[in-house]
Amino acid sequence: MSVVVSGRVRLARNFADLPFTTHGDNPQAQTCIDRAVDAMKEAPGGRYTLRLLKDTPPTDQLALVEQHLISKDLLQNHHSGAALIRDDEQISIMINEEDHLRIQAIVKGLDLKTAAREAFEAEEALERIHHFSFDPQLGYLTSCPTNTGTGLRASLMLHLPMLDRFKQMGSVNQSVAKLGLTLRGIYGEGSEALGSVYQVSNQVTLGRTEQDIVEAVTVVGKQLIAMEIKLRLKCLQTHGTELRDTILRSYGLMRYAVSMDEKELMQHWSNLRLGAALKLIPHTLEDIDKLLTTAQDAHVRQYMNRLAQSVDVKEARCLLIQETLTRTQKPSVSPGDAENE
Amino acid sequence: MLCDECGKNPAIFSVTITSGGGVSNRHLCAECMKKMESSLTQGNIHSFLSSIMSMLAPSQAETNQLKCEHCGLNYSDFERTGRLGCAGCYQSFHKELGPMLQRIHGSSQHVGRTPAHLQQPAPEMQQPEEHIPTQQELNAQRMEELRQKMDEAVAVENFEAAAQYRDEMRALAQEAGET
Repeated sequence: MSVVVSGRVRLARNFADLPFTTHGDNPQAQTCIDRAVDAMKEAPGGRYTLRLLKDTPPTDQLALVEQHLISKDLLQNHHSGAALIRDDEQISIMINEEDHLRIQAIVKGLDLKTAAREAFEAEEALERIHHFSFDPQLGYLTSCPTNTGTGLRASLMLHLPMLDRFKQMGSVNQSVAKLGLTLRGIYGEGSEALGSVYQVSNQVTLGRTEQDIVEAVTVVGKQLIAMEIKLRLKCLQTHGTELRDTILRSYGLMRYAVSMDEKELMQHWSNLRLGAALKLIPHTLEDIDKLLTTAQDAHVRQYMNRLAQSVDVKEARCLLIQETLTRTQKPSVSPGDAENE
Repeated sequence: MLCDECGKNPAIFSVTITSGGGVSNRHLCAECMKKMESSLTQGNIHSFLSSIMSMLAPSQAETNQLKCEHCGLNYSDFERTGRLGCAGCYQSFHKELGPMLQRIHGSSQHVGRTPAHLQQPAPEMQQPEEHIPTQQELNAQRMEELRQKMDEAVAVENFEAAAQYRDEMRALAQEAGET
């Protein structure tokens, strides 16, 4: 848990009787929304709420991206894009993105098998009445050939500050690519690995079973976790003072800075997360992980709107972080009291 | 001879690009060869796709004429956007997408889940039946073997052997096209 931020499995599916989203019109987009809503009315596991992008203010749309409940790509389909989100936010079904449906299940740790099971349960509910495009040879047919076959993307979001610090990510990237997997930044394809947050996921979707894909991502994830932990312990032994200094300086800044942009946030957040993992700061990993979402721009803007005083986003970010850190500080533990993991 | 790509370093690799009926040769230095390989194996999926498309798809003149009979999408639009128009595009552009899928995924045969409504009855209900492979299946099998061997040869930098496997694949593809 000290390395894994979250795990996700997503399935790309298209209704067999409709052209793909890129070739569809507005009535078709509405049909996809209606079918998904009908199918999930009595789905197991909890209640789903429909979010239509056209009825969602831009800041709230971006906040959903920050929560990883929808993708940035969905925002391009502003008029037809929608998402059905289960109330516990563990499952989201994007509608009219690149494919008619993108079913996504999120778990907190490494347990991608559970995520896959949840995603398939939702998929079964969705295909009960309307069948999905499927070809016996090519599997599930998707708008982009890179998703054809299982349509399944399994990914683990990992915090790898030590692999970054010791400049190991280049060689890791090469080895991962040879296994048909890929490493990306925090918001997926094309995004930067801000705060040393990486996503390892499968590139290949055809010619492998769903179980094999989930297993491969899990095995590689476990390997990366082992490498990261080993480097953390080594760094504590060889550069303990420097490491504590870096972490606690960031903690000081997060507690007392007045203005901070997103890039600086990610740098200090990464140090705080490492500090929480090494028990150098009086906060749990879960509390620090929440900041990864709540201290991002859109969430800060939502918070800013609730503030009585007039401040800009960078100032509001600091107020939010400080409020969170004060609220979540564990009693009777002083910063810097290191314990072994 | 200088590298065709950067024009600065001496060319030490010769790369053959087959597009449709035409074959062209490019001479690359170690640095540009590495760049080309890495754009094929990692990173940006769009550059990855466009590399594959330009290397594997039939020539521009041929594909410009191609249109999906189901949704009307031009193949050139797919090349530009990387998005297909409908499930029928997979049939309409079968010849073009086949090698592309093979190159992207290393396979062109789905082995994962089947939708519930297409699932066959339980095995004990089925009559055992011996499957006699068709020529097409045998060719596909041979193609897969050759591709694996070529990848292995490239991995150990045995480019001579890799070229032989590539030629065999090309011959097999041509043969299959003629029958």
